[in-house]
Amino acid sequence: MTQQKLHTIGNGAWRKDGIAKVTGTQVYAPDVAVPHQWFGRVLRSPFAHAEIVSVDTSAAEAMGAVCLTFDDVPKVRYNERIVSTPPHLYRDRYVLADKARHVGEPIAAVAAPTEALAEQALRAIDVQYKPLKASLSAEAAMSPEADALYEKVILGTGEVAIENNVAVRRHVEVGDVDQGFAESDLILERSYTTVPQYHAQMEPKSVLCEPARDGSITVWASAQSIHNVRILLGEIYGIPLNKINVRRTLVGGTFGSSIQVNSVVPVCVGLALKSGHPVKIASTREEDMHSHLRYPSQLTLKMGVKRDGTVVAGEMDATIEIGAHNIQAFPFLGVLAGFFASLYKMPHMRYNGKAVYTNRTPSCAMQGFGAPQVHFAVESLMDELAVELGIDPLEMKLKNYVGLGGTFWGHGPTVKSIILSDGVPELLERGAEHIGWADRPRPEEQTGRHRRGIGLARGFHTSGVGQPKAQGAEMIDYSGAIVKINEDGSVDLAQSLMDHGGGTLEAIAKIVAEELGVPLDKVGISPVDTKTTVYDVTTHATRGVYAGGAAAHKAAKTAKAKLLALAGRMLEVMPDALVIEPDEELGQGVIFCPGMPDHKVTVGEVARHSHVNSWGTIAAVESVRQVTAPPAYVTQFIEVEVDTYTGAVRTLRAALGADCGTVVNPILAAGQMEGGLSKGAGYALIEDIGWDPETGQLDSKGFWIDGKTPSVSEAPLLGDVTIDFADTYEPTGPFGAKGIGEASMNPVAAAYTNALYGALGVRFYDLPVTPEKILAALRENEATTGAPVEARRETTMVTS
Amino acid sequence: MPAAAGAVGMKPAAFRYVAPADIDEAVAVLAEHGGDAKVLAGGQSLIPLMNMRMSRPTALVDVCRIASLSGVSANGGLTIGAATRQASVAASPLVADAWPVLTEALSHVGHPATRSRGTFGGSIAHADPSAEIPAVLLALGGEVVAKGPGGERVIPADDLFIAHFTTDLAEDEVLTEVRLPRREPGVVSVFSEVVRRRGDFALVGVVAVAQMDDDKRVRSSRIVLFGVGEVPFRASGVEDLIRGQQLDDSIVAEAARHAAQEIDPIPDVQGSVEYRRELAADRVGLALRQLTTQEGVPA
Repeated sequence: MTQQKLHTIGNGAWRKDGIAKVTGTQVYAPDVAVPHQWFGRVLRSPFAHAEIVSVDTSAAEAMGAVCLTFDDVPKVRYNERIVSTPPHLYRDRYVLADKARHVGEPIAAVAAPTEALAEQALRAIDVQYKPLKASLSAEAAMSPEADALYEKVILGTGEVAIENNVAVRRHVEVGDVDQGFAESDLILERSYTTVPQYHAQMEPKSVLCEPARDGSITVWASAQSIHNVRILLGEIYGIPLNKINVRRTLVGGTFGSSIQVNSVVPVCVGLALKSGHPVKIASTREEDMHSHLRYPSQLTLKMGVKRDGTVVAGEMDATIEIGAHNIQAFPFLGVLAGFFASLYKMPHMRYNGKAVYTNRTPSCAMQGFGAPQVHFAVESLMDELAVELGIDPLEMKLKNYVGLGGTFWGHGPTVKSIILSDGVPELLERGAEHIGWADRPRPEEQTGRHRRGIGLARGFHTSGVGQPKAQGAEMIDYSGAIVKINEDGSVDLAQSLMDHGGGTLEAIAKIVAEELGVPLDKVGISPVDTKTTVYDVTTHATRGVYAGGAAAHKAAKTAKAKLLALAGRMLEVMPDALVIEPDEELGQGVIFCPGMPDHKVTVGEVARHSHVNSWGTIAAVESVRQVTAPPAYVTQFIEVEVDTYTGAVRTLRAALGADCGTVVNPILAAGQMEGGLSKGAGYALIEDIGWDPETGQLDSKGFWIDGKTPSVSEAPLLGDVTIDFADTYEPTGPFGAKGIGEASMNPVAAAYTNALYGALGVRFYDLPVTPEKILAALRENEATTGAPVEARRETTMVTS
Repeated sequence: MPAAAGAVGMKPAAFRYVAPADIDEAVAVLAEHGGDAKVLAGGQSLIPLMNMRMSRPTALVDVCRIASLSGVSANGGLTIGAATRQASVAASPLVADAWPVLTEALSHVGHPATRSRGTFGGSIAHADPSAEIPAVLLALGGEVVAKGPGGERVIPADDLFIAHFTTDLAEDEVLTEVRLPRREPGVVSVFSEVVRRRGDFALVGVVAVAQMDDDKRVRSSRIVLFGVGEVPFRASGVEDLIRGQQLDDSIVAEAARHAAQEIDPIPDVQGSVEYRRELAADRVGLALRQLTTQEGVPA
């Protein structure tokens, strides 16, 4: 439904950074080095909860290392993720901990001229701990016997007391829920459990800080926002922002793991300031896994429906564990409510959420934020309700989903948008066709060792967190861009936005090329830093193309107006009469007046003419806040095969659909969908970050050998995956585009559990659905319903 | 309470690296360190253990640069140099011809990148009870050659695996080669394992080798399970049960049940004891049924 002829957007362009990546020459934060740099290491707590009685660094210092302890760092409590506005920002941590609240908490740090000396010095630091009772579950943390993690934390400009280790509560209510349930013909209530998941991004969190004699610092860091790194370092260390420069390095994936300013960043700055040397800290994989994980949740969901499948009422109780620090519990509880309210029309809705501190790894953003948890619960229960009512789940979802003209709560109760583009019906129809939904296998029709099932789940993610209110928003959400037309007609795009590897900047380069009418290879993505760019909040919430792209689009429009004004002066034609189109032969944008073939000049000629005649540089800087946050819809049909003897689940086929508005680059957009399927499959079936209940140490101890994430071997063959893009146009997006990234993962777990139901006739409420859980469920099903799983000849259990 | 520094974020303790030119030098360096040195033979398991400081050798003796330790040769059976990369063994036509079950097993050992570094002998000396190569060695009834200060000795696979990550190799001995017997006429073999993800160590696996009579009765067999206890495990009860039998449904079912009883699995984050027993039964049943469908080399 594109509204104009496009020359670049929609083409499957290859990546500008592809060659550097595949040849190993791309520089990531852990690769950055400067002359005379020292190496930093962080001493981390071996206890889940302990008072720090003393820290003796004398032996380490005698080795020639510079040490940093709690006494050395500013007594500024901060929140590492400064995306929430100050009144909604909970601050509970220092650069180094005043108390150990989780295994892996930074207690002290060293810097030394060599990595080996840094490691030796680290081990020479003598810390005396007084262990406290560790709360390793929400239940334990809320019990009266639990030791408090915090007495008080800072909220806005004041302090709030923390009781029973509950960090935040949120309550949302719409309509009259009790009346809604009273009017319902069928009510189901189920509890769903999701576990932490490690981001498993390729780049471990790293940082290099180079101090200068004038008190300024230059920082390279794994980050999703270089400006937030700068602003927070300014707050903590009291350095004027013009003396802090944060340089962007390409980030080797994040999945949300660097939405915050990682704790190693201010530690590294402290070491550099104290030692006077450039200091580099590259986290080990073990440290990385101990620094952040996905929010685990317990969701109790109750929904009431009419006999015809109309949803009447819904109620959700959420308990989430935030671990040892409150990074963004308040918005997290908000999005649980918002995503719950936005999946299906619910006249009556009630939501209660609480976020609980525990002595575990801090929870933080991860692809989908709270959406995968909510999607798992809601999409599972909708499937169960439909089956109970004897209605096709697809029909029931189509009947109730929040679509065109509806209100989408985007990123929580304060981020509401009217839906202007909706490809759901089209995607459901096409996906059902690809996968053979009408003829899907049914549990009651299957016998034998291997059973097949097809599951459907759908949903969305928000495209950014923009909203119309001028003041009082919960979240900061704006982007900026500088577009500069060079003296030869090529273009520089200088934007502080981060590309996590999905190709966000490449997509934005296409938006700029499209607007300026120049070939894509004429647009270069500038290496940038905070000194020479304008602010971008952070690449999160699937906002890169929709919000970051909008800023670049506006800058391109402004630059284009200047360009056409100058071209008009050259051609003696009114600028409004001119258009630009790329000319493949010339490799240039050509500016001309339709109907006046002689009046024609290339973009390069205008730029050069402007240069030699000292007319000035053709450039623009813009800063843009989107005022809506449209849903990026997805639909997922997944076919599995279950080995009922081993419990193993194989993904046979998938039919994926995405409504990302105008597709900027179908190759990379498809890659997002494939990646989301893999990440979601890990969440659904494999990944479980367990804790030792005694020590609070991760079972995997931070090693990847036990922290399973699926690899390409577990994915279905690409030939068995179809990806459809809806033919939609989002009027508020750049060239009609909206988001896709996080949406690709959100419903996947429910598609799997619904597929498992289709294969086995058994529902699963706890993620991940491991082979052992499947075997146990089959046995229980056998015992309670008498439905034999099949004469499992070899697997007669032996109990000894 | 004091605590060891760096409960997380551990990387190896300092060590000396030696790359000897020949085996004698390797043996001499090992002896010099009196048991505190370790042989580095690819490092795909040893280095992670050192990074976790579960292993803290004072020296690493890198045997991968000793040319005589690499290569595959056929002499009726197979002789495989201990430092031959797993990828080379997997790609060897001699191996594929002599023991296709080994080629098959190697495709399940880690990933292409780890197989390019990891060595055949290194995996055997490391003796991970969930690893494929030690199980194949045991099932084929191979032997290894070790060289120490006192000279060379040959250790049959049946005597090699002592305990969890422990072999009969002395601290100052270097494993030099692995010998696999000739495949006799009528011998068939099957490899099968259950993993959470391709390339992982096995939850449970089986290597079944049997010599069949003309009337499809089992003359003799070696049934080895891995991932089921401290060492690769010879299921001798199963072997006794199927000796002289045709592998029909009832004997396969009985053998599978027997396998589950015979083992003593260790629970871990990947799987419980009960699950591993269940998998052992399943894999043994599967392997025995597959044995009946295979053709051995003709007499």
